[in-house]
Amino acid sequence: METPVQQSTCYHCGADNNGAPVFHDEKAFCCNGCVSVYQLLTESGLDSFYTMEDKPGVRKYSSDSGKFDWLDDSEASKALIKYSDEKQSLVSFYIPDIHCASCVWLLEKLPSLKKGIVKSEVDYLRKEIRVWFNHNETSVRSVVQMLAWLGYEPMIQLSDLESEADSKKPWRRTYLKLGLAGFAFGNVMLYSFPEYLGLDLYSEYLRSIFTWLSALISIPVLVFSAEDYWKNAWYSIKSHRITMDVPLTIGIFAMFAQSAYELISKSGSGYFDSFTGLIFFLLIGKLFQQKTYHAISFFRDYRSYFPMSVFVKNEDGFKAIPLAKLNKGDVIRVRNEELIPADSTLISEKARIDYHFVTGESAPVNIKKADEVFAGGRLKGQEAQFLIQKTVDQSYLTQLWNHDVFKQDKLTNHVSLADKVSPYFTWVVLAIAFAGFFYWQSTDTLKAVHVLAAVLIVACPCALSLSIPFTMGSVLNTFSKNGLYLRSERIVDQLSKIKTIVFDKTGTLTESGNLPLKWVGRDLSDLDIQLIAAAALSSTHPLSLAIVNFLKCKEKHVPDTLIEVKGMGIKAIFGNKTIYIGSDKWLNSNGIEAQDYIGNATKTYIGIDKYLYGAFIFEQVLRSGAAETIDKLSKTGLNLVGLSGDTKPSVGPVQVLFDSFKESNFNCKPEDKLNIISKIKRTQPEELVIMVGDGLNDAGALQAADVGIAISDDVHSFSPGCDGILQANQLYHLDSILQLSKDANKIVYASYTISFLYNIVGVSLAVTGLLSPLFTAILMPLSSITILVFTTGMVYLISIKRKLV
Amino acid sequence: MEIIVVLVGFSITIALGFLAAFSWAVKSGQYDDTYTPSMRMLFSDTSKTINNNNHQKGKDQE
Repeated sequence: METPVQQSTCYHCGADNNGAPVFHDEKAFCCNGCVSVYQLLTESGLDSFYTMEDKPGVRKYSSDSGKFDWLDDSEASKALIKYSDEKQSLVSFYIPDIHCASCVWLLEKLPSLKKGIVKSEVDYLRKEIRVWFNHNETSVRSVVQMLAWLGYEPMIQLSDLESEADSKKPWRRTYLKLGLAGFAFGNVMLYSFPEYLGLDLYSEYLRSIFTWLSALISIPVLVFSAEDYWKNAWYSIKSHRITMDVPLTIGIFAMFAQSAYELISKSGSGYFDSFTGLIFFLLIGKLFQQKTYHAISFFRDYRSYFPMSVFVKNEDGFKAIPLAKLNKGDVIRVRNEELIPADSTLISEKARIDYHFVTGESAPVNIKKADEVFAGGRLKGQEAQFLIQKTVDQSYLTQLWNHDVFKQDKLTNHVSLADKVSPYFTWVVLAIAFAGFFYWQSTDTLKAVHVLAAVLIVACPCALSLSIPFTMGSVLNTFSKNGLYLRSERIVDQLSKIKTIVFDKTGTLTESGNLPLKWVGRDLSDLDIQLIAAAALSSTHPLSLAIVNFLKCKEKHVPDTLIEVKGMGIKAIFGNKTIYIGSDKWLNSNGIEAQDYIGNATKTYIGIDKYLYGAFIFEQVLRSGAAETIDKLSKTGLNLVGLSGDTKPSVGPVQVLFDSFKESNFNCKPEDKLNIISKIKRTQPEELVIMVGDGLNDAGALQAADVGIAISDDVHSFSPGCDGILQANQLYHLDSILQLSKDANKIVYASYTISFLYNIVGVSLAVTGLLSPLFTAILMPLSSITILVFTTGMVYLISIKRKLV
Repeated sequence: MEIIVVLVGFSITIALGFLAAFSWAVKSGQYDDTYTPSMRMLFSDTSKTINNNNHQKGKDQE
């Protein structure tokens, strides 16, 4: 056998094999897991997977066989199954690891990899797979296990079990409505052609046939395509409000009634073309505005963060059970990087917990046996056992969701511009229509009725109702190109009225994750660096670990003697050299002269033999553009407020930034953040507040603010319930984004003016009784198209000006 | 001019046919995901299925 070509990356997943490749088929792999996936794929004839893209595979994460045991629980698996008949079941999963065409290809080949799977279908943008399987041959659990084994572990969350219904279905209905309206518009226009051209050969007989046909085609448009408009109008009248749908519906029905009258009295061919065209344009506007961002969820709460199952101790070891069945007094096992699901106490000797989610504090804390641990903490390092003290929904973190702010939807109280205009509009139109009616009634009753109908028809706020959908649709589109995803177009209106912006520090203004280190002191020799790394390696303190990561030493020295004093530092003796790592007090107590010369930053001092050499400073790094954005925002006259879960830093870029804020608060717990927002809203009830934050610890504040924007490194990953998600690297656009939302309102006002002008022309013709169906057939589409071109064009031009395109 | 009635009859039948086709396309889920199919169409069939076909042909010839 030939010597295989030396490869440092895995043939399957592309990961570095750390110089110890596993060989199979003359190809290098990083582990046996990848080999077995490769074997299965070649045996099933799916080896063309490897020719599609360079290193397409996904690294296998866990070989933990018990992890999905809880899916055998019939309740849990039943909740996951979307549809089931006597032979087949359908499940769908969210798989974050789907990243390229080969993923789609491989996942859709599941039926040839596993017996019992009938069909699998991937939705790439939603990162979702739908699997049809024969439930007599296989089970939900083995499907999930198969996916996990291939490296595509589905992310199953508690909220999956509770949410219901296929989210795609309502879209189908909108498409159907649009299709029907388009069909009717096209055909009715064809039948109206002879009339548009005033053709003579157009006999009375043909005319009545065409009109009847137009009427027949228009009925389904009224009943089906236009249903949202008249239904909404009805609901709003019932709740004593006048929305834009009310005048719209009045117009639609006036148009239809007048056309029906003309049809029956054989006096004309009605307004069926204008009617169908109107509905067609309105539906296009609706489709344009209702952008959904695939796989982005704005309604997450704590349940989305928590795992689906936990390992609970019973007589014969640990068994995975669904989270909902966790009780007080259970003993659970948590592994590295897993979340602690409920408030509990530590049973193991020690553990390290990262509370970044809960408090925003970035450095992990060390806890020892019998210490309290709060839900939402993430275990770092060695696995540990915990005794549950409270159930999941009673825990400290989840209690936040019982706060009143979570019980209402902010948008229900929001009054949009259209809502403000529509009552006036409706009353004015009705007044003009009846004024016209009474004016003509004395001379000609029939004409008076015509004028009434004509005014209502031509004043139909079609162009008016298109202004907001097209403006906001384009604005949302520009925002999403710049990494901001809003949950509704109404948020744009809110954004334009903002007076105060509240920023969270950790993860929002500063980079989340590991703290970068800085060495301040004299130059260290290579040997010194190696010895410091070796000494730090023996400690589990987070700062020591950060030092080890920072120094990146390959050589492994072992200290002859090692002394570690909790809360003070380490003393390590290597031959004739002694290394001290710790606080200034620790160095002093060992006879080294040292003062605290760094100040309030997180730091650790290094002493070698008898001398102080310097210190490692843990620096929080601002996100790129954060300082400039804050500077620009404060110049526009906004109130800026800073919140932080950490202690106040006395030096560094964070401190400089916080000093430029009007108000800053430190040591904030999640409820403190919520209360600060509520206080600002109470003192300035007229002025809207944005909260910009990340993490679960900001969830309350995001909800309490008028607009909550979550900052996220990956918009598809976790972010708390909010009104918008902003990609972290796009933070510097924030000021332009706020500007654009102000401009958007101006564009809406301008296009309102344009459509009012059209209305004035139309209505003045209508009251004189001169309005002809032909004129309406031209005026209505023309006004719609003007608005469409004006709004989208203006948004585009302004986006260029604001450098957002 | 009565011929126009017949022609309109034809045209509306054809148009209704297209409307029905559109509604079938929407209902069968063709508009649910408009992105993934563009990836899917570029996948070439696997070597195994081709082999199977060859195998089948060979048998038929025997």
